[in-house]
Amino acid sequence: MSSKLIKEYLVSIKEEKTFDDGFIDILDKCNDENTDGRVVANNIIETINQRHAENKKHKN
Amino acid sequence: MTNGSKGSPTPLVLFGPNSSGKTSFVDGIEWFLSPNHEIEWLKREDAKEKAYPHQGANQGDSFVEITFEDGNKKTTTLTKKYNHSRVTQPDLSSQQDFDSLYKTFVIKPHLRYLEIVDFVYNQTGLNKYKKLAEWMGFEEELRFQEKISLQILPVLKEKEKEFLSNVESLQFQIANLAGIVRADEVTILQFCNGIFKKYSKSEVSSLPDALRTIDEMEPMRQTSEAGVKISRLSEAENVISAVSIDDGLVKKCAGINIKIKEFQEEKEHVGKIDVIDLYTKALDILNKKTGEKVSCPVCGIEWEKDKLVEHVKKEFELLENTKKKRDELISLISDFKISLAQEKGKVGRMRVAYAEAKKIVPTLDISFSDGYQKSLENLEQTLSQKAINEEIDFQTDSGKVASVESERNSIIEQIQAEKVKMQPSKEERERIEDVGKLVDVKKLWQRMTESEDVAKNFSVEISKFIYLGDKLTGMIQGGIKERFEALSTDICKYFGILRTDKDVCEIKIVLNEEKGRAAGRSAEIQLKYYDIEVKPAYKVLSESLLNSLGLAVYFTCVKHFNKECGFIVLDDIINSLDKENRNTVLDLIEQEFGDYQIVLFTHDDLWFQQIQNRFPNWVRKKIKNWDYSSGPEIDFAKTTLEEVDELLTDSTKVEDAGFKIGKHIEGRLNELCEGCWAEVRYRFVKNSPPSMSELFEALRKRLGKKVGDKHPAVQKLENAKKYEPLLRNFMGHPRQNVSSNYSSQEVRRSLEEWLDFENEISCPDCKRCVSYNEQKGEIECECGKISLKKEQVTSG
Repeated sequence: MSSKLIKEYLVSIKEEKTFDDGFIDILDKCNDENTDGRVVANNIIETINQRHAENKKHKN
Repeated sequence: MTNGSKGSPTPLVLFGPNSSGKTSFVDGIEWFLSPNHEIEWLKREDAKEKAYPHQGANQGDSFVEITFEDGNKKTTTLTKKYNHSRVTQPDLSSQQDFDSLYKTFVIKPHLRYLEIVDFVYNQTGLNKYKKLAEWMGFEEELRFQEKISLQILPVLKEKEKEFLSNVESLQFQIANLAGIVRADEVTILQFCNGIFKKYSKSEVSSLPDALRTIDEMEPMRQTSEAGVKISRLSEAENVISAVSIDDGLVKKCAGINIKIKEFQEEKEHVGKIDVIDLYTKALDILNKKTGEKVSCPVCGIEWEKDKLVEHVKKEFELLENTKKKRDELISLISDFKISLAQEKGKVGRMRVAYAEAKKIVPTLDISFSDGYQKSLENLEQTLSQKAINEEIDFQTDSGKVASVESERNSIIEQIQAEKVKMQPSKEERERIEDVGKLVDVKKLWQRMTESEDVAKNFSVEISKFIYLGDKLTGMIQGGIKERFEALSTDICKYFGILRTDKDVCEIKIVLNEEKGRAAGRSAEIQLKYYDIEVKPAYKVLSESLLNSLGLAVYFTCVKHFNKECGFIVLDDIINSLDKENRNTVLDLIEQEFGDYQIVLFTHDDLWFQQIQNRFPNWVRKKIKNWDYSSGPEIDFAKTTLEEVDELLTDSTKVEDAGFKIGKHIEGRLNELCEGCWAEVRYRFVKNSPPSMSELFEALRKRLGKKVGDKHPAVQKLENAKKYEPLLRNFMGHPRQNVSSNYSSQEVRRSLEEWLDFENEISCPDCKRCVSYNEQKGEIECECGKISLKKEQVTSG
């Protein structure tokens, strides 16, 4: 079951605009779908790798 | 009962001696208020639903019906009827009304004496915290907090470590090749300048300049045909030497296959994981089913009704467990794919070098690596197509991997032998080796800086996630702490009302945040006892104080979390308190729960009397009688004075009236003497209590001393005392064989004189009699409105 309060916390964190939106979205989805923590960790790793590849592409 | 928005409800007190059926009422209320139609309390005695009704009851005989009145005086009657053919599923007057009722409370609005004892004594810090989490509704946040700190962060840290170790490995290879202790810009520059000098190249001061010089020098390896070949072979050798093949991937694969085999055993549940939510709703569906046998709405198996609920719960747990295993497997396979990609890259680089060397040494046998590469490619394809519960077919084993490694070592040896066979000059061989080293150091350095870049980027990104995780965890813990703190203030306040006699203060529910102690996931009650900080509270407090603490926690939670529920049922809770502290429960109810309807059950007649005196507006009832067929017989309870009044209307019951008056006055005199610090003769040998005459005299002396003999209260006490001989006669001797010498008028007069005195010393506001206030040195009531002072003599 997802937590309404966690959702509220994440929304308020997002509004602060000092935190990583991509990671907030991942945690939000994790809360909604009650995803296993290790699957969430792999999603985060994948996101980081994609970002790095994109950055490298832009530099070149 | 009163529910919904609170107003001025009328509390009720029910007196019944032990074994008169009081607790059955509480059981009935618990069953009525339970969404699962269970009486948790009876489970302790292994009594299930079949044991709930009267053994002689027939279908339709057993039910609980309660009429609720909301703040607007609107009434709703709800009935829960026990169904003998479906014992776990009673018939409800309206499911919707019951659902609305269940939503009005978070904490069950009924409390039994032993539950207080349970909460205080029988819970560990973690269990207490879980109970509080359940009461205060922060279970989900707690779970999310654990997911971040115990699942997500460890995986990310592990990955970060892997990237850093890759950088370290490349650093090690460079250091090895260049013969230096540690590879950094300075040491590599020194190494390069050393070789540059040997070949008359200018010394450079930066690594980028050194890399450019290496590019310039690279053709120097190829001055003769043999030199070109040696250079190419050296290059290939360096690549091949930097690679080592082990069976790590084979072992990982075997580990995953074991997990897959375990998962295969749960085949029947796997397909249902996606419909897991249905199980949470299954109970609702079952409630509406009829018939002796019904099919499970989720799995389709036919079951007996009374076992069905248990079955659905079990199925739900199984599916949750299967989902957990599936998620774990997905995560393992995901990790395995990353390792496979790394292994394929490594073998690929090695095979390119093999191919290069083979052009010069065609006899090189690379068949094992051919096979290994094919099996890696097949594995990659298999993984992209396979179902989660299919085992991984790697088509290789540790033996084959060892052959690939032997083949690699053999190829290195053959390359080295070939280089020797080519017999270049010493200078040429040295130059080829030196330039080869420079070229390889350059390549490794470039790979290392790239890996460092990846690792640094990963660390930066991870720190962003940690920053976010810390913020979220902080918010979660802050929310929980806030709730604890909000409660702590009231717990402290309520405890202060319950126990004015002890120096206990600063009571808090504290989150255990120390490392290694279920940090952030356990709680204890902490307090200051005579200025000493104590945690957990049960370590030093007496049983009586702990019970008061348990009551304070319960009442606080009710106040905070049962905002929509207007009633509290309390069953014999005074059992948990000493005699001298029982009145303080009434203080708490009066001061803090005036807008709740209190339904209080007690077996203690003295306390019952005290409640009657103190709260004349409460509905008073008593269990008059009990028999097997009809159960407890309830009647309105009269106060002593109401009973006396009734007896005096019958001239044959004058003695009974006199006895009751005497008992009442004696009880009140005892209270007053204690409260006003009156001195009564001490008895050591004779173990009888002070007589009524002694009590009258002691109180008169005490009041006379404090306020003067002419004070109206003392005068009225004197008037009442005149009837003491009359009352003593009624109380002291059995008079069955002697006719009474007193008329009902005389007896009534004795009561009136006493009541005149009682009215003089009783407060209409706080409903308390006067007592001695040590701090002020005065005789006054608790709220201070009635204060007996000497000045009254002169002014009056």
